[in-house]
Amino acid sequence: MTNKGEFGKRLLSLYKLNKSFTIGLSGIILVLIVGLLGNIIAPYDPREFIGKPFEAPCLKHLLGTDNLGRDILSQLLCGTRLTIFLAFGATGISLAIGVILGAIAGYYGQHVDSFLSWFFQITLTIPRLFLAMLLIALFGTDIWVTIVVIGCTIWPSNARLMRAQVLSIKNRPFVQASHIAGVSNIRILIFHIIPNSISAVIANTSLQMAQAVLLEASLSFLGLGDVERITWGQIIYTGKMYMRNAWWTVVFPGLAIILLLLSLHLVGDGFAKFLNPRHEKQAQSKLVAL
Amino acid sequence: MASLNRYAIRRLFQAIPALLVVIVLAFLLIQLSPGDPAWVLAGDNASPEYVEQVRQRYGFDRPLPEQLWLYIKTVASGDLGYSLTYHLPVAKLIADRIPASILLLLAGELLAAIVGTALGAFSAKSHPSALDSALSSITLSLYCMPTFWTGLILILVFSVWTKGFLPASGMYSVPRMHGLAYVFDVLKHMILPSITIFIYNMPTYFRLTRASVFEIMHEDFVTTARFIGINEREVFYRHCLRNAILPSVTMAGLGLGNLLGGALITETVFSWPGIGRLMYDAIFARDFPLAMGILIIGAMTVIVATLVTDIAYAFLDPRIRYSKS
Repeated sequence: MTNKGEFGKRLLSLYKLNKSFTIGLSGIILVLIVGLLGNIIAPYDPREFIGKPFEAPCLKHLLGTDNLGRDILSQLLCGTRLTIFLAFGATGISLAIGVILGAIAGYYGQHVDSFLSWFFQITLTIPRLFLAMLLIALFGTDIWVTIVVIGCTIWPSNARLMRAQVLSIKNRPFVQASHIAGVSNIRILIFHIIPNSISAVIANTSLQMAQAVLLEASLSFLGLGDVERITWGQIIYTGKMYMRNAWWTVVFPGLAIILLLLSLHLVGDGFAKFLNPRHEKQAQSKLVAL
Repeated sequence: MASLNRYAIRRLFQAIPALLVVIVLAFLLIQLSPGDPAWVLAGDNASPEYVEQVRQRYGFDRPLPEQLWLYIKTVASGDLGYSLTYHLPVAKLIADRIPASILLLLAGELLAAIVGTALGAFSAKSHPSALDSALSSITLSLYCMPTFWTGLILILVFSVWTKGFLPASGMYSVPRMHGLAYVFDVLKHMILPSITIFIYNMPTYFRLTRASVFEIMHEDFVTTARFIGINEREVFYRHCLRNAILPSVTMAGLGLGNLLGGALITETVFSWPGIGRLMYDAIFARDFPLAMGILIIGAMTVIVATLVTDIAYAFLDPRIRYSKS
């Protein structure tokens, strides 16, 4: 992957070969656009009591109204931005923790590595949702707390990916050359090791975002979301009490979550194939077979 | 066998510090939470005398390292504290709820493991085909369905719209039946929640098995088996599938942490009287001794399950016990 032209060519072949990657990417772009323009294209104010309570989907309210007569489509569109923001925020925190700890474990090796790897292993054993619930119950349901809590519960997979990548790179000639030239360990880590091994973690981002969105929705559904704000999980939380008479309050926000998760997973799978040439060869042989 | 025993003992010694770390983490959470730790454990409405009692018991008036030592000692002796809402020992409350959770998880998880693994192998074998693509798309869509949403939709379809065709909440009807009628009643209540857990877990087994069958079908020993004239059927079942099932075994142990999360949501949606529902109630009643107790027990269960699967894995695959020693 050192050759830029080669890299570009492979990216193009990925685009051509992997239809699902393209579909996923389109889905993500759609959600991003809605997140950006949600407040403009929403037909009504999501907080205003605009119609009668529990109006079934009709031309006036495409996805119906909730218990207070608020338009569900508008809530969904306006909630998109916060969902995306939360996904980026939590993934960013997870990326930072994972990259730093993983790089330290992989680079320093020996006791540091065995200790940190053991620590990653333990953090993976703690039931993630239980921990997140407990943290939010202790520190409050504010959206910022939620972002930090989710970021702090999803990082171990990043750390393990980073560690593996650093292990494979730290004995390369350019790193040894830096050692001989007398560059300090920290400098080597920051300027040589991390930039050259971060690609696997970046590729993992879409799956991490999927986890963050799912975790937020689950927490909101359980009543641990920020009630001041509209997120997709929050709409379902409000709707579930009236679900028996108004199915649309639950069904549509759920479909929105599925659309986003599906897109993120398709892109994640595509990236995984892209970074693992072995899979790509299989894909090419599949093309020949067809 | 000697090497297997050695491996098992070594893994057992690695598991003990892991348990300690979980207890330390629980301790840190209490310390880091806003406010006086004694108040956190005594509850918002506790009398000053009770707060003082809790402070003494956990030694919150002493230096931090001493507090930690005392906390570890208390938890290690099986004393998880007293529930604020139920006024019962936490350990007893958890023990009472475990059977209901196991019943539900076992049904859903077993079904998921068997169907997921079988479909995954079948899908990989038929690749490339429309069937393989269809199965992959369907399972990916199931994989992306939030558990709580799956549960709600199942309730809508099979209980609300079909006028109570299947029960949507609880573990048995009130008044409680007796004998065989009770068993059937519980089974009927189990259907929807176990399908929810099945949908939550099946895709993982499917994806894992499908990927590993793919990987193994391109290994040299499989090619060799084909070259020496073993028929395709036997190559697949004896050489591919047997090796491809291993990741599913690991998944069954390692995935338990996630499974507990899924169980919590499922039990909450269906008001199933298990550990997950207990955790949910504890969080909302701000019953922190109970919530901490469940977190510790949950993590311990996962550690033990990981240990058991690791040993099972070493038993199935001799390379593991030799490589690390």
